Amino acid sequence: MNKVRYRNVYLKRKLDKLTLLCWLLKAIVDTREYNLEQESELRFEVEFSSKASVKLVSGTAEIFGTELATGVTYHFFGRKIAVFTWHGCCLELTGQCSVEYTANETPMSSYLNLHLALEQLRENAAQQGEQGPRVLVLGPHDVGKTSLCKILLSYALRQGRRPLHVSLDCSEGSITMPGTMTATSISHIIDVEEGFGSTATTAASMGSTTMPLAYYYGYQNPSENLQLYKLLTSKLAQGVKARSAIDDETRLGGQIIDTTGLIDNVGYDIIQHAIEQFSVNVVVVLGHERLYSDMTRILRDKPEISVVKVAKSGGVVERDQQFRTQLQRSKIHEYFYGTSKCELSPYSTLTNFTDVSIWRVGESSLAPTSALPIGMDRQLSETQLVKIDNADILLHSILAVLNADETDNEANALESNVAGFIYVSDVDDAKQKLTILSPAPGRLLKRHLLMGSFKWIES
Amino acid sequence: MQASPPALQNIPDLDALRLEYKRILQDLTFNCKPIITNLTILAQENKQGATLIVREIEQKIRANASNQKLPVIYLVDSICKNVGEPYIQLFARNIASLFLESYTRAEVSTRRSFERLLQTWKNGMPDGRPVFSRSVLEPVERSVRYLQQQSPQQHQQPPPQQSPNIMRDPRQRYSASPSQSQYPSSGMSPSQQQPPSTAPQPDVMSTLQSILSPANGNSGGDPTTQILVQLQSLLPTLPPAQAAPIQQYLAQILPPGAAPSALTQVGSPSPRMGHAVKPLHEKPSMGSPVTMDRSTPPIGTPPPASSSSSGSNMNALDLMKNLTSLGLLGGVSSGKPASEQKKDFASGNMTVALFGPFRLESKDIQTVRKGAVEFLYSALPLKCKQCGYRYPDTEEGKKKMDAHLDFHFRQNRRSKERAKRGLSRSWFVTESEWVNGVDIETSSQHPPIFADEQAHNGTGGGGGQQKHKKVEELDADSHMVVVPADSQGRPCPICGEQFITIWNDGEEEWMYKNAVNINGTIYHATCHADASHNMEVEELEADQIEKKRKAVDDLEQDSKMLKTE
Repeated sequence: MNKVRYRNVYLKRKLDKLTLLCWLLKAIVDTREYNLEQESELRFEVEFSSKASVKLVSGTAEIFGTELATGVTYHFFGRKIAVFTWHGCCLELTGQCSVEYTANETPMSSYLNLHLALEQLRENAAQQGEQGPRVLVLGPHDVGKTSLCKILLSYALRQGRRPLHVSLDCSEGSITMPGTMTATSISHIIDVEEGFGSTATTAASMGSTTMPLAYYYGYQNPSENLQLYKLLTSKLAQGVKARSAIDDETRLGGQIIDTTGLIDNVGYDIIQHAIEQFSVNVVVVLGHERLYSDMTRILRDKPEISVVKVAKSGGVVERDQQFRTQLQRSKIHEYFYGTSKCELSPYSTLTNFTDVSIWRVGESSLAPTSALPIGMDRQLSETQLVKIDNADILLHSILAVLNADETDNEANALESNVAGFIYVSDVDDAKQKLTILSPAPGRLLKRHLLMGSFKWIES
Repeated sequence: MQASPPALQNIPDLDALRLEYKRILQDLTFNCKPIITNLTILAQENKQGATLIVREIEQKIRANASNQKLPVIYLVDSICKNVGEPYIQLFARNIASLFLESYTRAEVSTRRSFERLLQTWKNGMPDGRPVFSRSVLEPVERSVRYLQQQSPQQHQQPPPQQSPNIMRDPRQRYSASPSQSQYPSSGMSPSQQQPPSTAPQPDVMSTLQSILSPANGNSGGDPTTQILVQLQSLLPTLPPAQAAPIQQYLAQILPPGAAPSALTQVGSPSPRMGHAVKPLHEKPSMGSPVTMDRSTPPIGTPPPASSSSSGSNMNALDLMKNLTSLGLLGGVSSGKPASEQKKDFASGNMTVALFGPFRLESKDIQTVRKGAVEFLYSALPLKCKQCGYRYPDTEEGKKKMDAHLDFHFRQNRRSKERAKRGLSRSWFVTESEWVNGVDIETSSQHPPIFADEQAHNGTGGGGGQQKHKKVEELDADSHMVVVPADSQGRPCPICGEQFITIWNDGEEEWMYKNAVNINGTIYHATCHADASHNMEVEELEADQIEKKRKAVDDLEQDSKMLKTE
């Protein structure tokens, strides 16, 4: 009898092995091998619905500045990726890609020079006990600003620096939710699979977790509430400066500041504001001649600020609104549920509407100037909090949990940073109850919640 | 010459082995199959002395006269193909330079044998695999192709083209005809053998040394300096792409005072080389053509009219050798640090200024600085296999790498454990916490925990890892439990898998393999050891972390209390 059992186990194991083998065979058939020459790159795009993976077989390769380990498989979905090699390499690409090709014209050597120039500034700063470079990366939409930031940050990290990544790009949410402005210390290798790596989870050191200083702006476009955008930029800059004053490594590492692709009048306004607030001393203009010449002109009488232009990569693709919306949705999903590599379990709880104070900023978008009472300054309302009395409009909203104490007044609340986000999945108007999805178990930590313009329907 | 009596026994004493090997190797001055077979078997029987054997063989190749190198390389070939590891790995380190050195010094006719041999290395293993990896062979092949283009010219009119020093004894030309040198053909007749001393190849190093010693006593004794100086003299023959980084590197390494004088002395071969090799560089096989108008002028001084002491063949060879060792030649194979130079490169004393100054101007940013990327690669040779992160090869870098691996280990284990309980996103810290750097705790750069573990275990870094290994090594066969009468196939409570039942003849009982009986419950021995070890480490670690981060914990406690209020 025991023998029979033994044989069954044996057969089962054998079957498992066969299944695995079939799967492997399928993967092998599907695998394309690429031999890249020195300083060329493999570009591929993966839809949100499909998956692709890349493995470095030999040589060296990097994705946006982060070097790949040999023999490790990296998975991607909903991404546009470029695997670059300085020394030549052999890659294996598996899975479905909507686009895949190799290119040998890249601006990487100029990006490297840019990095080395910044590194030179850091070395000088180290000798003189000064601050590392504060770099503002400018350019229109879809020229690879975020990718350039990643490259510069990753290279700095590889040389033992600990730079800050500041994201003023509120549409994308490279670190966390869309609509958020963040500053993050890059102290660990940037995860190539997750963009910048997700923010910290309860498993204290899970992968390349980051802990951002985040402020919630709540809109996609800075022009929707310019006043608030500038206020939060200043708050962020204050935090960054305070940290730089305390921590030597942060001070020396400097900051790489990612911006929105806005280059109209509003854009120039917020650029100048950011330059002032962060005491920027290097302005990098990516792939836009007019912007470069305008910046040189505007900053003519500030010789301490260097303005540099670099070419954009031929690999950048214009992302349509649909892709952006999908990206935002996947970012929100990722915040609560994590990625396939690291799945998270959010908690659904019931909360009394009266237990929390939910705010939204200003009413400007609702009332035109002409409709305002005579003598009332519109500017004021742009940064004033308005309490939400009607629970109905909260349905499917993303709310930011503010790190403000209950005793704090409204003005303080708006200026507090974000502790996290919750999602209102259901509203019971009669009982005045909200069903919320919270990232962590337990009661809501803070009372003050801020609503933005982002809605999400859990699929 | 007599083939030595077979010494097939396993020689326990490594030193004796080395001497014995050396003795037999002495006789391998011609292509003699019995000796090669004998030495191959000896290598197979004494794998524990592989390092020593390889060293002896390599020395032999270097020491032998140019016409006697091929047989020893045949021995390398035989050992690699018949014995395989660990020899392949050991030979792979230096085979490129040894092969090229022998190849360049060999007669044109003998070269064909080398070329045939090189071809077999591409797929010569019994199962059709390459003997050496592509990254090793590719630079060699490239160099061979390059030298091949040079050879017909020399073949037509050998004497006037060659400098007196590398002119061969005419008899050698016949001694190494292709048919005779083919492996594994029978040995040559003794009359054809040349004693090593008849046509000595002047060693470039010693030549350099002799040149350097009177002029500059300080740097003359330092072999590193010589290599550098030698390299320097070869620089003008390189494509500028490869030359610039080396040049800048040299500029940094050489003491400012010593460099110019030393270079003046050895600068002579360079212009000569430049003329001799230039037309060949224009052929595509070598890469980009030589352009003398690179950004930095050559450091080699104007050409004195003196004839060079070393011929162009040799220069090219040493150039290859040095470049290969620097990792600048043979694109794919970079990242294999070996030579002394590289260590200097990696020791973190490189500064950006070497390639600079960098100006933050749009034009300067476009200037291509070849080799500058090595700041991010060769300068950081310690690469993590799991994530690709690199550290410099310094004491501090090694410590950091240890801490980094330790972090991976803990992270992997923790993620497995916590995954069962379910993970969730943590709340972000407050502004003041962020400003004070609390976020770092949640990311990677923990202070190396093993510093404390060392005290606990009395072992080196990564004590946890070693313990873990112990668990894996636990001998599953030594743990057996008699199958209980009432067991209706109850699985192991830890992993939920069935036990493997075997018949034990000695006990005349059915037994569970790899099992322990703890208080009446039967576990897999490995599962139980693993679980108890995990608990142990978890407690240990929790204890340390608590101690280590007391301050931080207090902070967090405070904030949690605030939050829950």
